[in-house]
Amino acid sequence: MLSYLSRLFQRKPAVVLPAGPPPWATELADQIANQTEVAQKLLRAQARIALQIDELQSRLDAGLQDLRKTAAPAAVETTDWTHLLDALDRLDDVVQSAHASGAAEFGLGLQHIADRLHAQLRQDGLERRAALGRTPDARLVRVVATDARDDVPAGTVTRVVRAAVTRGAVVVREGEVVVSTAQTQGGSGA
Amino acid sequence: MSLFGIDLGTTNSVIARMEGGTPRALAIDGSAIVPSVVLYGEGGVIVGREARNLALLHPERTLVSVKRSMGRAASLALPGRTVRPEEVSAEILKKLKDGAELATGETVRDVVVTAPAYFDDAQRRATLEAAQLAGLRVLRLLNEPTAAAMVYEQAGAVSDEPHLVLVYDLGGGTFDVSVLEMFGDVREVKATAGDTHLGGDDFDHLLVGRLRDELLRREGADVRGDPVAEARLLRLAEESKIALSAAIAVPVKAEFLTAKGGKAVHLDFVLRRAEFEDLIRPHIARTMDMALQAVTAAGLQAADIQRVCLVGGSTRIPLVRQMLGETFAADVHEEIDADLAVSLGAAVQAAVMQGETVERILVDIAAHDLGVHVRSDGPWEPNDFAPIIHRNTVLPTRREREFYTVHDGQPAVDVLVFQGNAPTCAGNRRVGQFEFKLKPAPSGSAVQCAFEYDLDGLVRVSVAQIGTKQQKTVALRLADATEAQVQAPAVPAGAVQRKAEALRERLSGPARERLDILLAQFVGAEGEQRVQAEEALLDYFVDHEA
Repeated sequence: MLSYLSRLFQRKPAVVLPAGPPPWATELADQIANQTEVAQKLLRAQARIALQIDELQSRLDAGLQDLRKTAAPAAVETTDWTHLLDALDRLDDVVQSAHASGAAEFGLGLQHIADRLHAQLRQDGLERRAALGRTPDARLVRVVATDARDDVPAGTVTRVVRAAVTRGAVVVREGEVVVSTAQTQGGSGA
Repeated sequence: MSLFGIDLGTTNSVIARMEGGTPRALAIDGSAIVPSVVLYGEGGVIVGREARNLALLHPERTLVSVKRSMGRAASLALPGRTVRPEEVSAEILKKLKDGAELATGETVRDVVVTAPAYFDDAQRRATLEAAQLAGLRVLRLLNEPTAAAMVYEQAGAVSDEPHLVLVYDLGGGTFDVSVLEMFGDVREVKATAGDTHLGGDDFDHLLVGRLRDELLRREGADVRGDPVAEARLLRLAEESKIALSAAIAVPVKAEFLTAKGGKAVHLDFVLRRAEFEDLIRPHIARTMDMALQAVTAAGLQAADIQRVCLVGGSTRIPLVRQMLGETFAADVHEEIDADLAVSLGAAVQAAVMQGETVERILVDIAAHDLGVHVRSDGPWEPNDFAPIIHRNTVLPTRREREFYTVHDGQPAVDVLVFQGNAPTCAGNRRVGQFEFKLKPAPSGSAVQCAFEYDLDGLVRVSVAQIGTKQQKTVALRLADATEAQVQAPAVPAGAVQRKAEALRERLSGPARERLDILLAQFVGAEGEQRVQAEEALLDYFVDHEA
């Protein structure tokens, strides 16, 4: 009975698996794998190019911004005045020496040159501040030496080593000064 | 209300806070760096730059480097009164608090303050008391090297993997070195060493001595006892020191410096970096010894250190980096402004405590060493690689180095430019080469080689024969060379990171966590692993762009 039924029905057909995949399937699988890899590479390349475009765009923006700054009248901000300002400090020294050594005409000539350079600086918004004979303004200048003497009140600037430079309220360069002390105190040096 | 981070330093102090997810130091009286100087004047207390500017006029009323006295019982003497170090530090903190309030318009109350890792309990309590006197509430007293490591982490210089970091902190007047073990959120200081009286000021004074000697030798003029000339020499020394960080030689000019026999004396000569390095080498060598002491005290060897983070302005001196490279085979990082690193780290810690999101600090850096092929001094080594721009250097940058000819009358040198992180040329990639003709000169003649690396990946290599008019400049585009290696257009690391950060904003949950992992892997990887990490990130971008 049971054997009879078994000939009528079968729960699941018996499957005979081949020893390996047919050659056409292997070939297609390889092709799919290769194409997937190619597609993946293309997508990565596309992502890289997109990133590069972003990067170039941001640099372009930055470059244009720089260009605008250069073209604007405020381009003076980027000028390095260091050497000119240092030279003016030394010119002041020479003018003072010339006057002290009796070469007044020579000193006056140099003073006129210095005045012309100062005028140029002022035109560009810079102001040299050399407060000789006054109390040092610590926001602007640093005391780098003291000078023991009784001919001027203690605590006044007797020599400007380096003038302070401001642009409006901003200190562009801190100055350096020598300040007098009472002779009994003695000079402390730098 | 914002939280602030404060670096209460021996020479200078800085206050910072988070702005737009990244830490930023606040300008006080026009500068982020506030001198830790307090002047008890007759009209009141003056702190910072103004106090420093008047210090020479009122030395008996001015207190400097008070941090060295913190936690000690002794009070500091002033005319007619005494003050405790805590009170002096409180004045500095008050100055920072008031300045920050003016700059931000916010009340400054809750802060993270840093202290040296070697501070004992009494010194830490004194720091807390100073803050309290200044009206501040200290949420955490953070070790300085830990703060520095935290901000370097935000710049991607420190990976999430467990590793050992050496924080080398050479400031104006003090030197500290610490070994940290870092793992996830744990940053443990394993050992410290240092010298509280060694820093950039010592180098300035050595250089002043050198300039003074030069003046005596050339002009027979002795400026000792001439305070104005000495002051000018000190400034000249400071400026020359800074310039020599980028250049191999600088002109030293000081007209009308002094007078001798009624005649003006001028100083005018060229100072070479090599001379400056010879002057300071013993000091830098001593810092290396102390760094090795700290490593030994941590139970480690030099080879165990994986990263070195630079802190303090004096670490900009090329010799420091060179000797660190020779002492430790570790990656040296300088992405963060060395003067501000500790305060920025304190601000990061404050933000973390407040639950704020801390964004990655994006800095364009050189991803690899860039240098030239040289013949070694020792036994013949055909592959010696001499880096000129080190990896992790912030771009754009210009660096110079001096090399020397091998033969008498050598007609030319081949300038072979290599890029990579290996110590030999064989392990690196050649990115360009050219011939540079020389004027006849004896062997050992100096040739200056300057690399200028801009943000577009363009490197200008300039070679000049010292003492002649021979010079040549060649521009190399590194991106083209990178293309050959990865077979795709090169993408700057900063661009990949920015893209990831932008995408991250739009994601949440596991997708965002996955992106964080991929980004961390990308930032921490090098060489071939970096390429793989980049590919993984690109795949992720593609999958999540839609």
